[in-house]
Amino acid sequence: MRFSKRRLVGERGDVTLLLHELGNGSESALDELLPLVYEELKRLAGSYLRRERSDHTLQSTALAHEAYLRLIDQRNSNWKSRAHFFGVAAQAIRRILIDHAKHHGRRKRGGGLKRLSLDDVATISAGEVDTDLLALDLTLAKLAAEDSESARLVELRFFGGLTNEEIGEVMGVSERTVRRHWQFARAWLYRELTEAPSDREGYANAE
Amino acid sequence: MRNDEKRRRAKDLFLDALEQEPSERRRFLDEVCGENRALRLEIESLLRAHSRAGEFLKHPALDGDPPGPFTDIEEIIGQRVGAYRIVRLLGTGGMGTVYLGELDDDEFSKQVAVKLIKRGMDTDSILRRLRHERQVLADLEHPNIARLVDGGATDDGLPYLIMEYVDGLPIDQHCRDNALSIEERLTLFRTVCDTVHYAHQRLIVHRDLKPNNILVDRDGRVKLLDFGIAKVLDSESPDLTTVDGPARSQPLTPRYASPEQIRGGAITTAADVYSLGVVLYELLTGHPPHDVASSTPAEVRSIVCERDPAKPSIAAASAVGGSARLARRLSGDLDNVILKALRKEPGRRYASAKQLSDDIRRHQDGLPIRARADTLGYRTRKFVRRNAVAVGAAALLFVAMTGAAVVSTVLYVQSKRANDRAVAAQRDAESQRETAQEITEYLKNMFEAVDPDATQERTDVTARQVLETAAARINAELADRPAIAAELHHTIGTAYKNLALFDEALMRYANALDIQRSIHDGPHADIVGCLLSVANIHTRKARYPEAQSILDEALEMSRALDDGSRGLLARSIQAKAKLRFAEGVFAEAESLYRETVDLYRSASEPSKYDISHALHDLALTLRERGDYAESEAILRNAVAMLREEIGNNHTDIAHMLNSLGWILEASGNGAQSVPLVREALAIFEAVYDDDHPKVMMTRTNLAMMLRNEGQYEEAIAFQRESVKVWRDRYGPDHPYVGHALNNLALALDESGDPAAAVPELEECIRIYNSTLGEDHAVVGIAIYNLANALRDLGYDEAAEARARTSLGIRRRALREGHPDIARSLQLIAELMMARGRNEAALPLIEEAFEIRQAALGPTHGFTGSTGRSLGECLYALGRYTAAEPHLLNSHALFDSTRGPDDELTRKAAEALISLYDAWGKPERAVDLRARQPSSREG
Repeated sequence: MRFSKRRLVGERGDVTLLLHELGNGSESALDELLPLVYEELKRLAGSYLRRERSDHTLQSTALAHEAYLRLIDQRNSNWKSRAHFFGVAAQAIRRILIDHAKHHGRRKRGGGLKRLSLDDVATISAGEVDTDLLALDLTLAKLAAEDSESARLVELRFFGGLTNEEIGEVMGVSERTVRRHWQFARAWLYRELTEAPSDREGYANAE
Repeated sequence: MRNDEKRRRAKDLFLDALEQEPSERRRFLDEVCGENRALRLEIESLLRAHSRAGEFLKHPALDGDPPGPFTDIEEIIGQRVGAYRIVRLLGTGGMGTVYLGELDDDEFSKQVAVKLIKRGMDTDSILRRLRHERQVLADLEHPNIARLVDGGATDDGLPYLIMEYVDGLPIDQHCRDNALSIEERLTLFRTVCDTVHYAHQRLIVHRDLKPNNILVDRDGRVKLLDFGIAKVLDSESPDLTTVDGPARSQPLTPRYASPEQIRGGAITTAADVYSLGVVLYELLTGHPPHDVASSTPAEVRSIVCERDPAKPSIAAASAVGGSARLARRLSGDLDNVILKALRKEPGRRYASAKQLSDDIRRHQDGLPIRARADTLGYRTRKFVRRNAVAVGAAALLFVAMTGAAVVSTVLYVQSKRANDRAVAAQRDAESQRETAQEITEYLKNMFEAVDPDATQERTDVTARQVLETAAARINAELADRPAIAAELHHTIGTAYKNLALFDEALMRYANALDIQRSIHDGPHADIVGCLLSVANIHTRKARYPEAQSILDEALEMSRALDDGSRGLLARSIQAKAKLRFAEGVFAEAESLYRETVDLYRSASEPSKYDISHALHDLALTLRERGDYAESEAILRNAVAMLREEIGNNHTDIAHMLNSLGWILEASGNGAQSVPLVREALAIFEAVYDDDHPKVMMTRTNLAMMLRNEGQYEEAIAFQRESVKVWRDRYGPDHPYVGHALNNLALALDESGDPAAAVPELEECIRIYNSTLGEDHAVVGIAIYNLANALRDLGYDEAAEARARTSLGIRRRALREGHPDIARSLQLIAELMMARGRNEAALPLIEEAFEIRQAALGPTHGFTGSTGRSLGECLYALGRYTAAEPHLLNSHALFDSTRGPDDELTRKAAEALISLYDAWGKPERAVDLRARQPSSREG
């Protein structure tokens, strides 16, 4: 997946401004922001991948935080805009990982994950079964069609590494609502990825 | 039913089913799904997926941490940790989650709090520290401290702590829910302090004191949680430090954390004292000292480490729904106590939690508190004001003008300091230019911040708001440029002072002083400069003991610094002379001013400006001493000297001309003084706006002089205008409005309308009481004048009661032997004499006479007037021999200074004639009779 660079933004202030616009509900701000964040995150993740930063583990929040520090004018930002940034970063990380998985092909791996390299994360642990990221990505898109909030939440939590509290901040809902959405989304995705396709289509089209 | 509605219903029912006990779910589904089999299948498939999903998606795609157990709060319920079974969730915090646990044993049902440390923290180092601290914490046995019971790691390597379970509410909520009074809150809080102190004595620092860790149980008993736990959890885990700096590795709550904790500095018991200060601030005002809720870490750091919190009383008053009563309750002691606990520098806080507790107790007992000792801004309400300035209404003008003199002197001192800087700049041009640029830039930003054109916000910004904004920003933004910060604090302080906002001025000056002290190790001229500014404010506010102690330090320092250039020492001695003058100790003021003049003259580079101003001050003192001739000569000399320096039409010249007129007026040359004051007024009016303080004061003086010439109508009109302008400029309750009302009342009274004077004086007294308190010297003046007006109206008893009140105030406010005390004594005595109570009046008038002789000398007009009353009293008691010399003296004095036709001279002569008649020695009165105009006519 690639983004067209519709606007070259070198100034921290511009990203900060876009973030404020996003916080105020501007959709176009997201369109402008995402490519910027994507490029920065990709660059950062790439340096991990090339083992330039082998002393660190690759972590969504750490990655996003580093991008945040680089892109955002700290003096003009606060917790709220930080949370929004992490929301955008979650989306960017999702795309980076999917791009990467497509490029490197699918690799399966059992058991819990400990120290991850970018290669490792092409496969994620799903308890008894292993699910690959590409399948998850597609299923997540289906969930989004049915229940966009729940899908967004999965993106924030799974790809973005946000806590429930931060997610509540980004989505403007209570932590309890986050927890409920999450329980539903996780069960729904798990079912979609493990049960026979006919089962769920049967329901979806019945009545 | 549409598809998405169906989905939503399925989702909701699935989530509801999840909340049922597993054994109940079937029945639940029977109930809600009824015959809708598709719905039921959907929900069941989701429930099935939920139970099988395990770790699915639980850890972020990019997650450096190994997956651990208990990531979902719900999952741990019912599981075992150590010997305890988890019952329910109690709360979550930054470092982990706390559950209610029960001993997993049927025989006991002991409840504990189980704190599970969240994943991602360094388990090994936590366990290591826990082993180290465990014994210490286990020994912490105190009825108000929740005990640490056990600690360890779960099978999955998650550290946990088992603590005594406290069923209570956070202290802030407890206070709110039970609507505790301030007294009750203070008492409760003292228990917290004493408990913290107990732990401190065992070298255990809490490090994370906050309302959530200070519970109050159902019996009202305080219980502190998590003592010493923060240290155990203080992790240096690289996972946490990589991105956010060391601050993140410590479990702290920014709202309650001390500056040293925020900075990552050494943590001592002083950090707990600070946090206690924050808690107390919140308990009393309902607001945190610093609002950091939506701040970035960098902002938190700047706010907590650099910004001064608002006084609790101000926070209480300015909050939404703020209460003036609460503000008054907090103002003073409690402000000082809390701010002392909240000092940025650990060493300047209370040395212990016990000291904090003790100070609160002292406050509750009405005893003086410790916090005042090293606080410049301490209010003097509890000090007896022994000394003060002012001689009757006339002195009010003089006070005001002395104020103006202080203004110009300080401004000059500043320009002189600017010169000093210019000299230094030649040595170090580059750095000085940078500094100047920084100041310029800073000031520019500062003014833009309040410029409505720049901010597009409310336009009614006052000078005061500009200054407030500026002061707040200095602390936040210039912490690393202390020299500039101090300079700006001082400048803002002076601006406040010129607005007559003395408390605010004092705060800025004290701030500048603190910074200068931190910049310079030993004595330094900049420290002296700040000390003098602080002392001058205290002097103006009639807080003489404070002014004195600060001046002592300034003097000592300037003596140590004096390298023969004399300027600094002269300024310090001049400030002390001002204080003595304000206190009414004119003899000492005179000798100090003489010393000042000598020092300026012997300076390495004598400045005519400095010398002439010191001479001016000396002249005013001599006037007060009653030495009008020398006073006039010296001031004329000063005017001439200053004219050589700055020419004719300068406001400083105008200032001195006004003073000269004032001296001439006092010595009975009112006719000469009027043109001088008019000239001064013309110069001021050319330079200043119509309502500038100097214009107003000069007009007031002119009005008072016209009053003396009998031009009452013009005088009254002037005073009315003056009242209006002061009101517009400084608000209705400013002391200057009171001064103007007092002067207006005098003009009304003397014009023959004492009835109109009374309400003006009552309003004047109300203003003084509300702004200066009830025991300020000027209250004594106004009440004295009220007594006189009542006497003129014939209400002698009411007049006497007021006169006695004014005497009481003056005895408290003024030093023993101040001439103003004699005024009240004399008035009381005369009122008693008028009703034949001469016996009782005698000791009063004797005391009055002694005071005046000692303070003003035997030849002062006031002494003569009191002598006449004393003589009359003695005469009325039949003690002719004792009465004669007093009456003779007073007559001779008035005769020589005012001439035979003056009213006072004639009254003295009349008294003497009556005496000789009663005494049976009419022959002694022959000459007097011959000279009395009335006797010639009659």
